[in-house]
Amino acid sequence: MNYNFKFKALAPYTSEIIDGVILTLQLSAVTMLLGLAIGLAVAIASISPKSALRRPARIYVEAIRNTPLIVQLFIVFFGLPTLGIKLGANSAALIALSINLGAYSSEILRAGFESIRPSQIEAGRSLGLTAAQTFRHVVLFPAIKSIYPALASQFVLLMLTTSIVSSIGATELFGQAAFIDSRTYRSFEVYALITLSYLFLTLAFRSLFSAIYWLVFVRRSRA
Amino acid sequence: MFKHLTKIVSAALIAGSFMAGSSQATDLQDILSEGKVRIGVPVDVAPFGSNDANNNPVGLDVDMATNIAEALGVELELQQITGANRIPYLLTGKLDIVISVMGATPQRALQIAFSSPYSGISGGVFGPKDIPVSSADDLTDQTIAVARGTTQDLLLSKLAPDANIQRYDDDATAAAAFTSGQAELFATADIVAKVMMTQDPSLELYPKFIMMFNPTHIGVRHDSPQLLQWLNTYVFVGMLDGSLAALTEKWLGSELPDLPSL
Repeated sequence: MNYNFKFKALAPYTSEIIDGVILTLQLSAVTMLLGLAIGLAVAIASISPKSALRRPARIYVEAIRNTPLIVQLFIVFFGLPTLGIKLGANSAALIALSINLGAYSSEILRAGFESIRPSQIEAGRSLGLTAAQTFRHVVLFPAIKSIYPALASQFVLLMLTTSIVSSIGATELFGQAAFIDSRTYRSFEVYALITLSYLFLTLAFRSLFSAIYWLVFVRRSRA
Repeated sequence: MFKHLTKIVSAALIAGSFMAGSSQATDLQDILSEGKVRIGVPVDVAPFGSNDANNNPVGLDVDMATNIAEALGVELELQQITGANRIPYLLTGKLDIVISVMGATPQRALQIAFSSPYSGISGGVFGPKDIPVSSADDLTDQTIAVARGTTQDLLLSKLAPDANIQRYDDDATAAAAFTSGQAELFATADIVAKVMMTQDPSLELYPKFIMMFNPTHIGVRHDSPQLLQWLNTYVFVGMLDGSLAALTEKWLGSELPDLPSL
């Protein structure tokens, strides 16, 4: 073993690493919200009885889930400027990631909706709830509760996936690591450090999602 | 839980560095006795190293690699690499030699050893005629695409620290950023700009300013002193008999200037 670890060489780049962590967090958080919103809309459309809604939703889900994220990213960043739509690296990353997450989360949500038996919806309606009330209390809430772990995993996976967007020049954590690597040539140290950073972020997100689950589902059902 | 985690992580790191270490230390004798030399050449920098229509590696650095393997009398194992991963490839023992349009810097020389220069390129910033930039000081809010970690990146970052520099994984992606309009200028080698303009005459990649002339060097690990000495002898002889000048003439279409030995 003749490799000398020199973590000190990374010290001048502390602010770059912090910037990278912040951008990764921002990208992840905004993408989670946008992706969930897209996913919810698409999931509702794909269980709709109207094929005008169902068909485009299915096409979107299949197109996104069956193509690589990096291709979608390159189309948004390098392809759209040809059509006159020019987005910065970070906005392009946000849009591509949200579109991607939207397709995956819509499939998870659809599975949740389909787990609700039709008799329960009929029961809700016959108790005098409106269609919207039935959807909210009888379908949406129990559906999200049952698919919550899968959705949380998808979100954590998304946070890890943001590392791909450095390839279009976004300066999130992995982009900053590659930058520091190109300046210090201490590849092993840099990537060991950001491995730990990603691990820490993953554990933080997992704790956050567990806390949300407890607040929204456990505590509420106890009360 | 966390105690176990630190144990697992440090075990993984130790195992990783051991694997990286075990394949190192291939000096001249090891190459000769194994009958095989592993050389890295660029995949994305025509005319130094790229793929031809049949997907075979071609270029000045590829020819260099072929000639060196032939002079060593061993089999050549060619590996195509990019500007960002060429030094890690060498340091982690995946390659014996890197011939990849590499300029020497004191910082890089802390990590790897450089041979005497065998050819050279000019690095600069290129773009359309109507952008009023003729030196690094003229740069304001123009976006400049560059491959991360290249000499152009290091130099431009130093000359214009406040410039709007977009860094990409390799020259091809940086070029895509320029051709798609994501960047207004492209910091690269003169020969890359020339090749791109030949391939697509609608592109405007005229030199805005030249940052430096970069002699290109062969890189080896510090633990292969015999190999380095052999390569220096090879370059010295090639300079004297004109074979290196002929190689530069063939691929770059320009004369090889007098280059000092290292």
